Amino acid sequence: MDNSIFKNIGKKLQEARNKNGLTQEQVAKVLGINKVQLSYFENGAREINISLLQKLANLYGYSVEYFLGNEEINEPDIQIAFRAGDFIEEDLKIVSFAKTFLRNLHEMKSLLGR
Amino acid sequence: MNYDKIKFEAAETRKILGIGPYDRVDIFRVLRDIENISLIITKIRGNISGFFMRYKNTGLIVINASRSLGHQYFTAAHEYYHLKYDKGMSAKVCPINKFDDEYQNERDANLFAAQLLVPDEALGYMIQKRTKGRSLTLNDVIFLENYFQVSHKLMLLRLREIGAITSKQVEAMEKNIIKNAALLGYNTELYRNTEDKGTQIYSEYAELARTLLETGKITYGKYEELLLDGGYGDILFGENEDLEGTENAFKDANSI
Repeated sequence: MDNSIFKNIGKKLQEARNKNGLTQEQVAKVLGINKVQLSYFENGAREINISLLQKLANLYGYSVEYFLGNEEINEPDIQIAFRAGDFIEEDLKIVSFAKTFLRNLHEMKSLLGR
Repeated sequence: MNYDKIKFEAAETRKILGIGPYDRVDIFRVLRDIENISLIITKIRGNISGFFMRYKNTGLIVINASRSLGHQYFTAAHEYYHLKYDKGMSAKVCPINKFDDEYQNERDANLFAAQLLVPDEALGYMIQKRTKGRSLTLNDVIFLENYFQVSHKLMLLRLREIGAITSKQVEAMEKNIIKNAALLGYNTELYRNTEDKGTQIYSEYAELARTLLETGKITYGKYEELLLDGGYGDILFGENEDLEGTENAFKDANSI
């Protein structure tokens, strides 16, 4: 696959992480990967698998399509501004779950025209 | 501080919701059944009471189950303020037990929650009704917090704010509250956390997924995925035996 695609995904991943106020270390811990791997994904140096991309999208509050698409979709954010000491790493899974829950809920309502 | 404005917003909210001036607010019911805001109560280890998220016109509040039920009600009212009045915000984490927060909108949300759950007038009315003018005792405080369904800390704070008790009395009344409430015959759930209940979800989520499946708008596979994503694995894999059978209620219901 064209390397520029990974670079584009990586750039968006990094932006999304920064907007959420999370460090590479925190995100890596939540996902159970190592920090260097995450760094490779953010630099576009490695191909990211779709399941991991889905987990990152959930954690950051975006759709997977946002990261895969070329165009700059103006997605409404579900970002949480973390303050020091708010959450511990374990809690980020709850944040990720909540974001997925909310996104699904909204999509279901839209499908039913509500 | 926008004290009068927030107080008015709280009063107006009660009026719109159809809650009487002296009635207690069932905030979980308000969120779920009236405002259609989803609620997840789950254990959060960090130092927060809860957080809210908004995606377009859909709202979600997550509450820390590690805090007392009374505190959870306050958190729900606090987050409700953010969703209802902090329109520019898409999400916010709210710290715990910090009534004097450095952020104005956090202070506003606290004030709103306090005035929504325990308005000055309602508190004054209930004090008068119970004490008929005599000084407040700890038993009265326990009665009041159970009437309004708020934590002991919040009730003491509110009573001090309206001048019903002094700071010295607050200090004297702070300890051994669960034991004292139990001795007076109250259910002590209000003072305890709800971690033992696991994650509780109050939302139309599962019903929407079911409706989408029944109307053929999604496949069974997608339905399963949605339920698993939403924490409803027990609907798919749970023991169904307990769900079968008939409701055990009045046999003579038809005569009512």
